[in-house]
Amino acid sequence: MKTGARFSGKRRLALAGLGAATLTAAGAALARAAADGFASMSVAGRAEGAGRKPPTRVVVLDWPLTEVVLSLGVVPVGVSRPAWYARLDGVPPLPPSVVDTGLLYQPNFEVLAALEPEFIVITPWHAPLRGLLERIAPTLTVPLFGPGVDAYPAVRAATRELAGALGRHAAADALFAQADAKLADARMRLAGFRATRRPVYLLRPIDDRHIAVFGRNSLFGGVLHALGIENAWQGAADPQGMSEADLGALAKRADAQAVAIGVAPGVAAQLARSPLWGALPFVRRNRVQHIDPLPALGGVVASMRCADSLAKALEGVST
Amino acid sequence: MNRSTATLSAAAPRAWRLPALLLMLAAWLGYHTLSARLPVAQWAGALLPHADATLPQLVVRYGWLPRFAIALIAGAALSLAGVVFQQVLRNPLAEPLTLGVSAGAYLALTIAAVVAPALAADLRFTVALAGAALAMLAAMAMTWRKGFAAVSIVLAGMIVNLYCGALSVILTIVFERSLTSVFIWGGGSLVQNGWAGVLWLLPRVLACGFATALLVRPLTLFSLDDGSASQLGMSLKWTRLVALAVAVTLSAFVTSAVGVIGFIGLGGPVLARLMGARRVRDQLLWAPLVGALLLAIADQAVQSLPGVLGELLPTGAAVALCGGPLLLWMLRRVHIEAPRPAAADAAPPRRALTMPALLLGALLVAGTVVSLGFSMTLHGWQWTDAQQWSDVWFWRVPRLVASLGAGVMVALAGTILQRVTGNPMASPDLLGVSGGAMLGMLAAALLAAAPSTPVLLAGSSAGALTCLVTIVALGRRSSFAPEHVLLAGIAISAFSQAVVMLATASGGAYANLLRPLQYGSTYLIVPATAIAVSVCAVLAVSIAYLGARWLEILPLGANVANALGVSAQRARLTLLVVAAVLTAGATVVIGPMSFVGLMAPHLARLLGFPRARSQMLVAALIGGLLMVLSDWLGRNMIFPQQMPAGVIATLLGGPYLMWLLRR
Repeated sequence: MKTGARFSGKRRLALAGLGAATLTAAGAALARAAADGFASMSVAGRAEGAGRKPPTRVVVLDWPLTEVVLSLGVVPVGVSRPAWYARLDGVPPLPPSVVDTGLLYQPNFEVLAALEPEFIVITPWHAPLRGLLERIAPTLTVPLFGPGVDAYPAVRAATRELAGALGRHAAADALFAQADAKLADARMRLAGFRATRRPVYLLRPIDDRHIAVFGRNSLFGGVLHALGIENAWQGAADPQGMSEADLGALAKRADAQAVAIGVAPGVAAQLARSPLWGALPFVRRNRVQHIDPLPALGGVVASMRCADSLAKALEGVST
Repeated sequence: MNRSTATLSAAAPRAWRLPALLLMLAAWLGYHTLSARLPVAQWAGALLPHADATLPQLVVRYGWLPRFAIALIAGAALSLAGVVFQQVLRNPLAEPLTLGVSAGAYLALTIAAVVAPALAADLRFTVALAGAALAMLAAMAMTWRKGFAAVSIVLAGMIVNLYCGALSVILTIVFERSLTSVFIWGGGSLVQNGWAGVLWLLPRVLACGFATALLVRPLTLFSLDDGSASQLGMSLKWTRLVALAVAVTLSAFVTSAVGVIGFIGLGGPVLARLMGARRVRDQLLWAPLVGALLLAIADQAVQSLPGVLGELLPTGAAVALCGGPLLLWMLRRVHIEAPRPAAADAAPPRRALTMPALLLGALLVAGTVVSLGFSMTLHGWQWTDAQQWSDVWFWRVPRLVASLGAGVMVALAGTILQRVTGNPMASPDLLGVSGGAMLGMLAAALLAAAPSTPVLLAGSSAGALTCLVTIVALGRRSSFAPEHVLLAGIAISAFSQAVVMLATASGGAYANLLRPLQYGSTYLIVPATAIAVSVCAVLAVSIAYLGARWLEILPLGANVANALGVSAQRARLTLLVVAAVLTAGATVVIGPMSFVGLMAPHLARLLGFPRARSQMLVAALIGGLLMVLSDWLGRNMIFPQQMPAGVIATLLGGPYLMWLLRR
């Protein structure tokens, strides 16, 4: 009995010691990981500041940013899941030569390293990966969408920033000139519609019960604003500027016009059967326009396409 | 009906108070949300169909009213299913969510949305129903040989639940963009836009209710034990089968109509019992009533939340958030009379340790070499040569080391848990510590503006520790009785899975970030983390060796342990803490559900190592080997997309677990 107690006392001491050692080891590793993170951040800052030859081998880990990079005339060497860019209706098209770097938030680091990029473009959502990406190439975080970000100006600022980083100022100037011309053209064509002072709901039906609505800080909400049209959805929106509304919530503005973006045929049939959809003021008065699918998350090209589609859809509406 | 009400009030004079309170609450909330949409004077116009209704009236008629109705119907149906499940399985924790029915339906819909999106939109009800039925059949097939014994069927259901959830997440990692509508559905949204949903659900629920009414007498007999019930002339197997089929159908109808709504099937019957409904027929009457009111109250409360929350939060999410604590609270009060599961099998012959250990060690080395050297690249399969090695070692070595270390830790944790609880089904994922770590990581990711690895690690550890404290607090009341500890853990696992599912179901940018976290951070492993993990693993082996004597004695029971001079309670507590810390470390690396902690100790035992020390050593080797293999498969299987090692381990482990249950 006595020996048992002695042993268990020893064992307890040994356990306590080992436990403390574990905690120390883990704590030290954590501290080092944190320090590494800070170090890589400051390195990145220096790398971005240094002036040198603009990079040509670029990897982009986000589809909207892919559009921005392509629109500046740079073809990336690698993009996350290129097939999805096309499936999300991305324009300009992505050449088939672009290498698949794997999943959006879990890129294949070995593939990335093998591509030997000179520059990597990521979103704030890739923050956990940044330290590791910095090992491969200088990495630039470009916020297009996020909490408190107004997408329309953010997209323009990001395009400028990327143009600077890629040495493509001339391409950016041309793009902005084209965008401004398109916008002015659309504004002109929409003069008749603006005279009606109707607000517009920009919708993308998900299924027969849920509708994604573009809020004020979404990219297309910004396009509406630039066209001088009031956004009928004044409610809250998520960090990407979207809100998921039920049909009843769309009845608040009786005088509104609706523009539905890329409605799948199946969903359209379901909606047609729904009595509440049929009762919505814009449906009852035949004030729904349909436009082709557009990427909800996109860049300057997407906003140009949106302005053009809106002008096409609404220029005939004057009552 | 009158008679049972009378007996109920006779049994418990204040029984009417609770439903009256709930009714008042539902009415008040309903008044609140309805008057916000429509002035009271116009209510009549919304209710009575006439042609010139104003728009707000139409919104109420086709939006608010059917939503209220479907909340009542779904709540009643889920509660009714809960009563039947609980009566038949003699387990107060059984309900559609804990039996895997909801997860099965969700998985079926996810698959359908990937394979045939058009089909998924048109045949949503059918697809979900098929998935739910298959999940329940799987759980039942696993327990067929045991005559659907109560404990094993709940365990089987929980495992189906966890496995279906894991498979859903794998699909969403690869196909996320095509699954938006499935995510919304998975969140349990009660939004309606017409009476079609109500008209679909109501007759089906009524039919199932009628079928249940026919089953009242056999259901009552389940209050007796199996022997007495058989003597009264009942075929237990078939009665159980029929009753279960009715309840599954009922819950599948609800799940396919409104999505995953958990815990109503738990809450309704519990409150009904608290009201004094002791007899089965009283419960069958009162539980649906209470459940209907509960879901309606929850739904109205969600609708009256201000701003973004009210618009974005699916009702199922809100209910699940209240349901987890409810489950744990019930565990505190409910005494579960579960027969202790028999030890896995008669002890196989013991073997000399040296040769098999050496062999396993050699296999581990070989696996490591293959995993590091032979891999898929942009130019196809390649053996890495010395020159390429300098480029790739940074990406392969740390995650391999971390996976290996995590495998060792989780295998040791599993061995300890199985020995301490005396339950061959115990493992870190079923203990819930992994689930707690996951929740902590989720909270950290949501709170931090730009979540970094250290933040996630800290969150995960905090979550695991909180979870451990909860389990220890719950266990203390029952002197760490194996069943209680295990069921508390399962409750936490299910809760964490539900929360994660809902957090990702709400869509938006957070979801994309959060979903991958569920399978650990093998991507983010830097050398420092890998070193920390391997140090922890080495320490874990030493600690486990110090505890080997306890592990040898504890399975003999508390009395034997005390007689041998070991304080059973203190020894258990210490070992549980060790196991929880090991689990937290491993979860950060390989995610919450690997099943390695279950498989490795079993395989060690089957190989002929029943003694604590040798079982731990062999289990640690097997655990490491499994994780090395998983890491290699994960990197190369669907190149260039990489699956985290934890996912592959889950895929490998799930079928083993189901096979184990079948035996």
